[in-house]
Amino acid sequence: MIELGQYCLFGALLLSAYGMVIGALGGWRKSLPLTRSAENAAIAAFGILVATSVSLWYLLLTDQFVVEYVAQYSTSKMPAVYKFTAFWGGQSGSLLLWALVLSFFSFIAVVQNRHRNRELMPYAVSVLMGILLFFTVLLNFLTNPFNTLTQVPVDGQGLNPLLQNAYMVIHPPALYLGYIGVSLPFAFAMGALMSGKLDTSWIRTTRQWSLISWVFLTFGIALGGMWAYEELGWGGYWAWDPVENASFMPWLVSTAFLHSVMITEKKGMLRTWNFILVLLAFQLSIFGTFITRSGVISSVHSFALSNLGPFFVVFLASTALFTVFWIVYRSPQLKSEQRMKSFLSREASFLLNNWLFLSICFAVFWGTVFPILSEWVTGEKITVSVPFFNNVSMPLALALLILTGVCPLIAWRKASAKNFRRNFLYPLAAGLVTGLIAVAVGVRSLIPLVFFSACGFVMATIVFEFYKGARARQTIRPTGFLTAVKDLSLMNKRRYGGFIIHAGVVLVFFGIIASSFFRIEEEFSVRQGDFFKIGDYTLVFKGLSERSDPEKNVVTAKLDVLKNGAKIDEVLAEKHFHHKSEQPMTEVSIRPTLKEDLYVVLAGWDKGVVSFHVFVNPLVQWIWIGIGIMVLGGLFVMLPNSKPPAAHVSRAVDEEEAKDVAA
Amino acid sequence: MPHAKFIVAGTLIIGAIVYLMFSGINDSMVYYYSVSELLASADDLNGKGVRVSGYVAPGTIHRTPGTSEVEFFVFEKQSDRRVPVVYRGIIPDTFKENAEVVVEGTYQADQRRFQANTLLAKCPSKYESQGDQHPDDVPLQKEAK
Repeated sequence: MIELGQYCLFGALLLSAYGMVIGALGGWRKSLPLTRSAENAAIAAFGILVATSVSLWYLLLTDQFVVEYVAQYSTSKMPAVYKFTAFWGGQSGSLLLWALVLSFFSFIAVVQNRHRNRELMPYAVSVLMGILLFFTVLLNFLTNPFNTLTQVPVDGQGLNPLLQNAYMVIHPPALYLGYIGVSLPFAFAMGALMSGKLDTSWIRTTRQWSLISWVFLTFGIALGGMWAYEELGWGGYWAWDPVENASFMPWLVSTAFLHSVMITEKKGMLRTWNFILVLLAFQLSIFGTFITRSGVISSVHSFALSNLGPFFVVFLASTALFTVFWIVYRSPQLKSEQRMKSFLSREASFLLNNWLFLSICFAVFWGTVFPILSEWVTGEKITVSVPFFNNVSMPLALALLILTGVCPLIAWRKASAKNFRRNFLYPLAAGLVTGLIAVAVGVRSLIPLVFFSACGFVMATIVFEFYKGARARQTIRPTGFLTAVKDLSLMNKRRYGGFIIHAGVVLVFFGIIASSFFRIEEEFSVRQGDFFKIGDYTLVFKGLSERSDPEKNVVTAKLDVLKNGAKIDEVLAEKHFHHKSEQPMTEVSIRPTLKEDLYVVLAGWDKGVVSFHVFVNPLVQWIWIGIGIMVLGGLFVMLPNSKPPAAHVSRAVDEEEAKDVAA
Repeated sequence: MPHAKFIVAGTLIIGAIVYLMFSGINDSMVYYYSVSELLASADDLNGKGVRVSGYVAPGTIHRTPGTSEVEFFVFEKQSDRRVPVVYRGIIPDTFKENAEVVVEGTYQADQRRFQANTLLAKCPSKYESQGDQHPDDVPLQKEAK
C-alpha cells in the first residue's frame, strides 16, 4: 500500500504536467485531439489521486505506524472516524486533500464542458492542471505523506484531542472545498484571457462554482468560529488570528466578486476588475492554505524554517505575474461597454460595495502580514493586536451594512429624488424604531445603537422588497400573498436568494455587535454549596466529581442555574485529561438561548476552592442562525432552474422595477 | 466629467481607509521580542505594548489561590535569561511547564516584571511543528505504556 501510494502520487504529478502542457498546446494550435488528450489527463489525474488517497486512508485505518504521517497523526486507540479525519490532520495530508479535491473539481468541469466552451476549455484545463502540478510537486518532493520511518513505533502520537470533535471533522474539508472552488473561476478566467473570448461566458460557466465555493467558505468559517467558541474556552468566537484571517480574506474577495459579476453581466461594466478579483481570490486561497499549514505568522522567526515557504511565494508570484501579463495584453479589448453615470445609481453602489470589501480585505491582509513585513524592513517583528482589526473593519463594515440596504432601493443609471422618497421612507422609519427599541432595553452607547438601527433599516428594506414584489405579482396573477412571495423568489432566484443572504448578514451583525459590546465576564472562586451571581443568573456550585474511561479522566463541576429565585437548569463544566496528551482540555458548558448564552468554564481547583470563569454572551446564537440563513440563501440561488430562460425573467422583473420607479 | 467625480470619490475613500489603518496601527502596535531583546531594551519599553515569546520555566508556576492570577518565569532556550510574568485571566489548557508561550502586555521597569494581558500557549499540533517535534521522537516500544 505504501508503494502503491507513492507510485500513484508520482503518476498524478506526471499526468498534471502532461495536462498542463498539452492543454495549452491544444488551445494554441486550436487542436481538438490535443485538447481531448489534456482533458483525459485531467480525468485520469482524478482517478489516480483517488487511488493515492485510498492508500493513505487504508494505512491510517490499519494503524501502519511505519508511515511517518500515520505515526504522527493517528494512534491505534483512536475511534475509526478520527483515524479517517487524521488524513487532513497534518501538512502533507491536507495538501493531498487539496490535490484530491482540485482534481475532483477539474473532473466535473471537464465532464460538464465536454461539448461546451470549446475555446475556453483547453486553457482552463491547462491552468487547473498547472495548479495541480504545483501541489503534486510539493507532495512528491517536499512533504510526502508516504515517507516511512526507520524505527517503527508501537503506537502513533495521535491527533491533538482539541481537534477530536465534530467541528474539526468537517471544518477543514469545508474550508478547503471553498478555497479550491475558487480555482475554477480563476481557471476559466485565464481561459478567457488566453483564448481572447472575453465575453461573459467564463462568468456564466463558473457562476455555480463561485457560489458553491462561497457557500463552503461561509460554512467553513462559521464552523471554525463555533469550534473556537465551544472548545477554546475564552468566551469568544473570533480573535483575528492569522489562521482565521486566512479564511476570511478569500471570503471577502469572493463576496466582492459575486457582486461585481452581476454588474458585468447586466451592464458590461467592470470587466477588467472581475479578472483582478478572481486572481486575488485565487491567490488568497492559496495564501490561506499556506499560512494555515505553515504557521509562518503565528510563530516567531519561523519563515526560514518552513521548507514550503519559498515554493508558495514563487508560485504566488508567478501566477500573479502571468495573470497580470494577460490582463494587460487584453486590456484594449476589455473596455467597459457603458460608463458610470452617477453616484446615485445601483452601479455605483455595487462599485462602492467592491471597494469596501477590498478595503477590509486589504486591512486584514496588512494586519496579518505586518509582522513579516516589519521584520523585513526594520528587522524588528512588530504585530498589530486585535483592536487594530476591530477599529479598521468596524466603520467599513457599517458602511457595507448600510449599503446592503441602500443598494436594492436605488435605481439603475441614476436615481431621482422621487425614487429616494418613495423607497427610503419606511426602511428609515424602521431603522429609527429599532434604535429606539434598543434605547428602551438599555443600550446607551453610540456604536451599538448605530449598528442596531442600521440592522433594522436593512431588514426593513429586505422585507419591503419581498412585499413590493409579491404585491406587483398579485396584480398580474391573483394568488395568495405567500404563494406570490414563493413564485416571485423562484422566478428570480438570484435576486431573492441574494436578499435571503442579506437577511442572514443582518442577523450576523446583530449577534456580533451585541456579543462584542454587551458581554459580561467574571471569575468566581467558591466552595461547595456557595452561590454567585452573574447577569440575571444565580449559580450554585453543587460539587466536583471525577470519572474515567479508557481514553481519559474527567473532572466535572455541577452547578444549578437559578433565575428569579427558581431553578431553571443544571450545567456541567468539565476538564478532560486525555491519557495520550499531557495537556488538560476544558469542556465548556454552554447554555444557549436566543437571548444570551450562559458560558461556564471550570478554571481550576485547589484545596476545596473551585474557580470558574463565567460569561454571559448576548445574542451569540443569532450569529450561527444568520450564517445558516446565508448558506441556505446561497443554496437557494443555486437551485436548478425549472424554467430555463432565466434571462428574460430577470428582464421582466427589471422592467417591473422600472415601472415602479417611473410611477 | 463623470470620471473625475469617481476619481475624487475613490481618492477620498482610499484616504479615509489609509488614515484608519495607520491610526489603528499606531494605537495597537505591539513589539514582538524574545526574552533577551526585552531585557536589553527594558528601560525604553516601560508601558509600551510588547509581545514576548519563550518557554515556561519549570518549577516557577505559582497560582494565587482563590483567584485566576498566575505568576511564572518565561525563559529563552538559547540563553538562560528569563523574565517574571504576572497574568490574570483565563489560563489556556496548553499552559504548563516548558510549554511555548506568547505573552502580550507591558513591561514594568520599576517592578522588573512583565504584566501580561493575554497569554497564549502554543498547542503542539494545531499548527505544524517546526522540527523540534520530529517523528523520531515518537515514543518507541520501551517507553510505551
